[in-house]
Amino acid sequence: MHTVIHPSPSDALQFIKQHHSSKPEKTMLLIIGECMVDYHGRAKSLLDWGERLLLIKQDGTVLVHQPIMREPVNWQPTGSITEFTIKDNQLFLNCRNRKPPEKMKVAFRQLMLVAATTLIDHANLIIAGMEVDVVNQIVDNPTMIEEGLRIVKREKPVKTGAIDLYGFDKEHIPVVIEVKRSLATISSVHQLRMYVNDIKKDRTEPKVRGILCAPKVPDMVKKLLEEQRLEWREVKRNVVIPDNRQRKLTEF
Amino acid sequence: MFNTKIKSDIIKGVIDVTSPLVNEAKFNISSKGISIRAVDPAHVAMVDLELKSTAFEEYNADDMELGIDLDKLNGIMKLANTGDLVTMEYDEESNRLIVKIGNLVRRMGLLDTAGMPDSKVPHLDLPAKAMVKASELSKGVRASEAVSDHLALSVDKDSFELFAEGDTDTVNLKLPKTLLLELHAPGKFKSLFSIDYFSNMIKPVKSDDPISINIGNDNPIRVEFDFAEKHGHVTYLLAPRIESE
Repeated sequence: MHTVIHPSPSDALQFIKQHHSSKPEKTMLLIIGECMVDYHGRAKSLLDWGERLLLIKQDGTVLVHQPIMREPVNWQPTGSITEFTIKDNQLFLNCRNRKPPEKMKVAFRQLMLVAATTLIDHANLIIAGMEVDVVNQIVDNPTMIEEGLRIVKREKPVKTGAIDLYGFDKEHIPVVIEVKRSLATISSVHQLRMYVNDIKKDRTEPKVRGILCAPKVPDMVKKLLEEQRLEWREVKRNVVIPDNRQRKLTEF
Repeated sequence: MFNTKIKSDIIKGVIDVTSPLVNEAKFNISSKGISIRAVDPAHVAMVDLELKSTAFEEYNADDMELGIDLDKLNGIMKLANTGDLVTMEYDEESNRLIVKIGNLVRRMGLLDTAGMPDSKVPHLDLPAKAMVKASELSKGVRASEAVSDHLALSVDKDSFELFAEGDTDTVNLKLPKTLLLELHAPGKFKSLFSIDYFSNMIKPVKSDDPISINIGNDNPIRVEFDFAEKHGHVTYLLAPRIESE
């Protein structure tokens, strides 16, 4: 790990050239200082002077973080190329991405810290078994519920609670979807029925469909759903624990 | 047309062979019989199953594809006792498979086969072959399951060997040529496999029946056996694991 504290812009440039520019694909670069960000691409934005943290990851990803909030205020994706220059005694970063064509310019007039290091990390994140996983899967691929389904809102508030997913089928009939992480229960049927009634009242629609999604729907629950003229889908969670050593048949 | 009568055990056998890899399968129907080819979602294993029309008590069929939910078919087959005859008929009008077990009639909705791709069989050069009795092999696999999640299979000119190594324990099963039904190996060949997959592949085989194994070096394994009194044949392919450093 190499660091330099309170460097002048030209010292910072020299440091970056020495520790980052020769092997950017192996170096993580961190810059803290007062900067301005100018972005042109899918949109235009200008972020005036402020004290921020800028990160360039080993795959070219660039992130500009303000002192608060989770998300970066500006960013460039994997594979972006960053060049460094000095102009008007400021350190300029020119970040380019080809597809889509976009450019992000960052000017630092005050630098607090520049650090460069190589991080080694071969692990993959494994997330399993969250209700939100199934919700995301449905949002990403509504056809897993049925052909022509459009999801328009998640966590839609209604009188009796919040609907996990709300959308319309291909006939433009409103569809209420309630997602359960494990077993569908009798009470999930009542919950779904109340949501469907809420939408019926709100929209004064005679027909609203309700679908209960769970990895397993017991026969008794299916029967109750049928009586209530509600539907169900057994949606399996797509949890694949990556196994780096297992090869695939497609490799042969 | 698909109008057949068959022993329930044979259909149960088809399900036991196919369901460890996929929940849904495309049954390719022709006048000669039924074939199923499927790859598991992780692309690690493939099953290729042939069931000749001679396995059926009655068989009348034209070329067609039936998309079958194996869990559902399994549920239906659980209603049948060993030796029961099952009638299976395709009803074109309702796109359902009508399954009759005694006086019970179950109409089963079919799946759209458009979303079920035809899997390509990889071209493999597997120089060594051993024929092993199922009971011997399953003993070795059961022992390995207790110590590790993967096992090594190797064949040389004198023997077939199974080896599993856990953190503290190991399992070794060595079958000399005299205990094998067939052995052919121009050298020593060894590959590593997931026990989970491998154990599911040999589970459906009757203990006295032979299992044919084709193996190479760090290549997939080909596991083959007959079922339904040789009217059916199963070929499994299983991709290897990479040896740990």
